[in-house]
Amino acid sequence: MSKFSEVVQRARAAFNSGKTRPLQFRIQQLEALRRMIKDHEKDIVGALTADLHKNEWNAYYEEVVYVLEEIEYMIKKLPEWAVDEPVEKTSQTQQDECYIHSEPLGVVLIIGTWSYPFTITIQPVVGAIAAGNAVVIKPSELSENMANLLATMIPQYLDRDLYPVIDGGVPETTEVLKERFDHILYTGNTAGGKIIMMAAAKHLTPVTLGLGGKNPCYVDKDCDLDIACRRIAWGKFMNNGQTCAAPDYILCDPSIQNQIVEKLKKSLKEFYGEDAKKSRDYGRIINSQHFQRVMGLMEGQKVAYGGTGDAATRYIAPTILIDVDPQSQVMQEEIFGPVMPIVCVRSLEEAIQFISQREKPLALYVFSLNDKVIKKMIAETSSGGVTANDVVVHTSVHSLPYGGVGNSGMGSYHGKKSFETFSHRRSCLVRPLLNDESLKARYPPSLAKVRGGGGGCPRDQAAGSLWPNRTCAFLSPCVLFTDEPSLKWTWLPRAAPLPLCPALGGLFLEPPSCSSVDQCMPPLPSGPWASLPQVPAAPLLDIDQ
Amino acid sequence: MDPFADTLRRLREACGSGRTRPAEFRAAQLKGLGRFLRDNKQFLQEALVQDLRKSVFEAELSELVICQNEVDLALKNLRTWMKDEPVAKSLFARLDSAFVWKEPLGLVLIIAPWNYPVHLTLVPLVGALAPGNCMVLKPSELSKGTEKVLAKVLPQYLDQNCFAVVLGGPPETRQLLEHKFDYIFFTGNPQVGRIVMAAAAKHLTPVTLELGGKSPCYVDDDCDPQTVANRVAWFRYFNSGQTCVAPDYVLCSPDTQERLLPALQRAITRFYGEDPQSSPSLGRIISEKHFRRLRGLLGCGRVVIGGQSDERDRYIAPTVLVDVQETEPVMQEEIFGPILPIVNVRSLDEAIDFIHRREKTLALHAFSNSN
Repeated sequence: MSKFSEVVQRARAAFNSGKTRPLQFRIQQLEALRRMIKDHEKDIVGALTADLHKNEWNAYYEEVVYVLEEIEYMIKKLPEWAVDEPVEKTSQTQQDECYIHSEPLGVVLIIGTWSYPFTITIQPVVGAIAAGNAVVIKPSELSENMANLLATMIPQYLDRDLYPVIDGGVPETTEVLKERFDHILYTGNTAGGKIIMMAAAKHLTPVTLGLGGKNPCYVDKDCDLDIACRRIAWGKFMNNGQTCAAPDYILCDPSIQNQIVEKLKKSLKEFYGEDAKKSRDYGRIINSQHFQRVMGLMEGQKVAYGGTGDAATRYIAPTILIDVDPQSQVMQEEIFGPVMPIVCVRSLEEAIQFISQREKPLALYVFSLNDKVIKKMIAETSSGGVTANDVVVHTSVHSLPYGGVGNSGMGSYHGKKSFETFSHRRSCLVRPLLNDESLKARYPPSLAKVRGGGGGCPRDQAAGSLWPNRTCAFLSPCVLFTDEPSLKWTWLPRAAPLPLCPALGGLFLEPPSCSSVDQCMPPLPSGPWASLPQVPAAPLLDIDQ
Repeated sequence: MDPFADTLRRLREACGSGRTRPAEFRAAQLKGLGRFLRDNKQFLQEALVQDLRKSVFEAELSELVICQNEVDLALKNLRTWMKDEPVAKSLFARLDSAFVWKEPLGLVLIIAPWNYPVHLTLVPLVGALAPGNCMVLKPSELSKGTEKVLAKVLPQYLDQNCFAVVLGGPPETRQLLEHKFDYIFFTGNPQVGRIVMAAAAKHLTPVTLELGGKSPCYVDDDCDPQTVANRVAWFRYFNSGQTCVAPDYVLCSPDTQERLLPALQRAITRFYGEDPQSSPSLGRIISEKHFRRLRGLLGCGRVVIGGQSDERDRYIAPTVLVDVQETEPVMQEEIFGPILPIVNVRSLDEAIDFIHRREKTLALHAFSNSN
């Protein structure tokens, strides 16, 4: 048994003990998490600085604050979300209780990533705890300092059996994935997503995959370019471009390309000064491998700004590329770095077609003063989410589920959606155990509902039957169900002769004296039922009277 | 040689064309489906008789009416469901409009089972049609009568640019699953469910998997045995037990078992007569392979009701077994037939433990007068 088996089994045993069921327990754990963050704010920021060159301000406002907000929201709303949710009843279930009961799934695995190593790992943990699960937490090994901090810090504040932190890289993750979980939430790249889902399939484990994509940013001619470019520069270059929801590339008309470049440059200088390398707000690439990768994407491109890098510090200057060829490498993969290509398109339609021909991205951005442009862009493309006239911020609204579609992922979370994602919403119907009179119509042998005249034996009104020897509808085993208005007779199959005859006002009849059971119950016909004869219309008689 | 490539390409083009976006188009498709159900009621009934010897009453109750209701519900609510859903805004976003926008996923694959071959095909189909997807339907090859009606007649009622039926058994389905879909809806058993999800993983296709399980049925001591027996027998033997959510086995005390057995017998006789094999209300097992599997289970525990079988007819009598061990096959696999084992427990807690030790099931039934 691997070391992970033990950890997972302990988490499962702890879950099975039932201790996460009471809301009070879950709220206590969330409060402990909140205390942990407040007590260790400096350490969290220190880890983010060491891993990604974030300073205290952006570490707090781009990471920590979101997790604190999620915890507050979850604590406040949990009592409301955890109660049974009554649903609309059908006519047959009016006397019953119909509701959705939310219950934990069991043991959840959360695999974080390195770009926002605190938020992306811990924000889903908040939802998983609130929903009453045990949570195995696997931070990314690439953001080493945060991984070490979480491994030390979390066991000091949260239940150690229920919420273990495991460490390791690809081999360890592969090992962990052999264990059975009740839900896996993974944030990372497309290739990783496929591996996770494949492993999950062996155990029929549902997954939430937050993957990436090339998030397009369409800038309309009809827009305030100063504001647009400032917002785009903010979202693109925060965390050195290493944001899943960052605008990956710009689509615009060639006539405004130069203006966009100038205004982006202006904003970049405002944010980071003439030399971004000296700015405390400008991040670094996570490691050498990614540094080389992003530098490689600039090769052969027309650089309008930046374009330089320093391998020793993993610094890449804020870079703008113009007149980019859609076939070039920088347009083939998610950039995840501080490089902004601009691709020229001649119209909104061309932009829409460009976007639609490619894999669905995690986010889509459109800047325009014209509402119709925004609506058309949303209506004719697809993406995980959208922000119009800004970037990234739709991911911060807790009532908007955050997730991808197609290659950019499946499932979503944040706020109430987290609670739902990590719960099993169980459909429940509770009926009274009264006598069965009201249900008898559903039991076989199906009661004959005879549409006949008011008085007189229905057999007199039957024009014919499937079995020429039988003239009484009640003794006929054949079936003709129809809602065709001109056909008012309904005959039904029976196992035994029916004791009631409506024509005689509900008196019990003796079973007909058949010389053999076969006469009452001939075998079912094998020919087409369409050959059943038509019978004349007659008003309705209900046998249940 | 890929028999599906052309069909799928045609459907993908339709996905990209925007044809399915307008509400009018989707409503027209739903109405087409409604007309299919009404115009072909008899064909469908005949097919269900052919496949499962399903009585017209059962067919109405559990297949046709349900499909018609789903179509009507979707038509009635389509425009509401399509609307943007505004969400609560934070202070930060108070000047913005924040909403969830609904859009089709693209090309949806529905793989349907044989036990309710109309219902479990068309109800998911309604769900795929309403949001504006294009669909590929793969009906079960085991329910041949229904497969034929769906393949030959259904496409005539829908826009064939956006809808196709493909046929085949396991090898063809595997080949189909190599293609990329934007959603896969599968109803069937867990083993195949794993295969479907693994195939979907290669394309990052989200899935809905409706699988099976041994749905337990707990009967408390203070219940009226006849009422319980009526309800349990009704749903256990409906469709000859071939229902994913049927009560698979009963958990009760020995005393309750004593009271239940005669009540179950009474219910069975009332429903199916003295000779259930000649009752038109009782269906048949779908195939020889499943018949033989079920016949094997009749050897478990002790037969107290039923136990008869007839291979020529694929008939298994409504059966109740007692003195069943947990390790016996009848308690190891989903029964999916007209056999009801009763397992004794001494208390509600013991019943809960028993259920907890096993895999989670599709349904759970509990009878009690106590809340």
